[in-house]
Amino acid sequence: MKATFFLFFMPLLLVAAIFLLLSKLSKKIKIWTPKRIMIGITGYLVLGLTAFLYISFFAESKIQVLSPFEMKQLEKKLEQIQKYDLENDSSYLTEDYKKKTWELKYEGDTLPVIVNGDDSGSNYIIRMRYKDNIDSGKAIVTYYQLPVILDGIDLSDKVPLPNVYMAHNELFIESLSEQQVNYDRIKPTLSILDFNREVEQEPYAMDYSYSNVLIIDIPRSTVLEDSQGLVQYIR
Amino acid sequence: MQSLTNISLKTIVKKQVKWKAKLYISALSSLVILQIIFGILLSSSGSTSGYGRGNLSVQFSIYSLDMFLIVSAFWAFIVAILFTTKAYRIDDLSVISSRTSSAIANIFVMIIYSFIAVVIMISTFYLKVLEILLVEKQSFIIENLFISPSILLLCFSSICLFGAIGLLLGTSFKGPTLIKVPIIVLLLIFISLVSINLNSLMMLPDLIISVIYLFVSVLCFCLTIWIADKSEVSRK
Repeated sequence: MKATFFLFFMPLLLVAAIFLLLSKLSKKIKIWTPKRIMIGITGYLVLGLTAFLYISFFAESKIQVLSPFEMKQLEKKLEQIQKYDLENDSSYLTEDYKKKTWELKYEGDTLPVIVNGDDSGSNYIIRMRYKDNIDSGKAIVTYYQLPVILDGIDLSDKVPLPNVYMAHNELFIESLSEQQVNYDRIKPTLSILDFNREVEQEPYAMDYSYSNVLIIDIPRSTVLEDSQGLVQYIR
Repeated sequence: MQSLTNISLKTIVKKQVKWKAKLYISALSSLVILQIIFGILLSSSGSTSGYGRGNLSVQFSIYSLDMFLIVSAFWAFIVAILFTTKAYRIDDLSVISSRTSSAIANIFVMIIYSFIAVVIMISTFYLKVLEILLVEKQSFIIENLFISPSILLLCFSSICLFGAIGLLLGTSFKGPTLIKVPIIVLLLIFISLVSINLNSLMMLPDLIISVIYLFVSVLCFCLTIWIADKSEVSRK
């Protein structure tokens, strides 16, 4: 009942109050003849048209919104990636997705890995891979960022990179604190209708569990110690 | 003295519509000011929706037509009620009119004003968009700049509906008690039915909602004319 009151009657009362106040004011200030009002309204409409023309010609959004078709295609691609990962195949991790590489040095033949984060590294998929062309005592950690689509917008550039470092001959992988991104979205529709329709039809959800991948490349002579059970082998 | 000139209802209504549309133009100027106050100055952040994924939190401020439509619809409702008040009815004495012709003229003025209200609404929306672009140069996303015809029709029909309800309410208050009570009860039943089935109504396509709104508006207009006809001084 309270919500209905605030949603419906409060704006109505506010509009009514302002409307009546304006009517009273216009009666007292007699400069507003019908002709002047008409000129004023026409001027306002011309101003709106100018704004529209300016936006159409000069404003260009740097952020692109994907169409439902493009999102479906992307979803198919991500499904394939998931299959690759389940088969321990790293061939899906191409140069296009490579974001950052860390070259780390350690002593001995064992490399303990510790994953720190709010929810124990669940933000990342961590895989280890044996490489023949790596010198012993050296590990290469590569971070791959796959597409992250939220509401049609690719946010992969906004995902904060993990903090990867060596300390006490242990490899630490830390996820950084939460990053907030704000967008102003111009949508010339009625949000109340869109929102209700989306709720009823269930919003389009994409599986992002394979979006952030960390690959630890180590020589065959090294044993990776993973006490948390978060690192899996990949070819 | 009796005039021998026989003027048809159509001619009277035509003249009245022209005259009233000019006379009540200040209503449109108040809509412009209301739109500026509510649409541009007060709704600075738009409606927001948030998402979280891992250590990434995304906040969308959505700038849509909702606020502009709500203000326009409420404005139409208030203006329509004011059209039926004594102060406005006194203006009818300046021209040849009957209650029926005045009611029909009011309906036409309301329809014309609803159309202009949609144009004012769109104008304010683009001015708001320009304001966002000038303030937020990096983070804005334009999904679509053009307003679809179905949305425009829906906005027009919504404003028209509120105007029609306002006219019906205002006219029924002036009408005979025998009509006044059932009409108000009918309106209350309609409003409660709409609020109960609001979700299923929203699920319909824009065009169907517009048709329903227009149909109800026509029904309200017809009832307004009927009540005005029943309230004619000469017939009592």
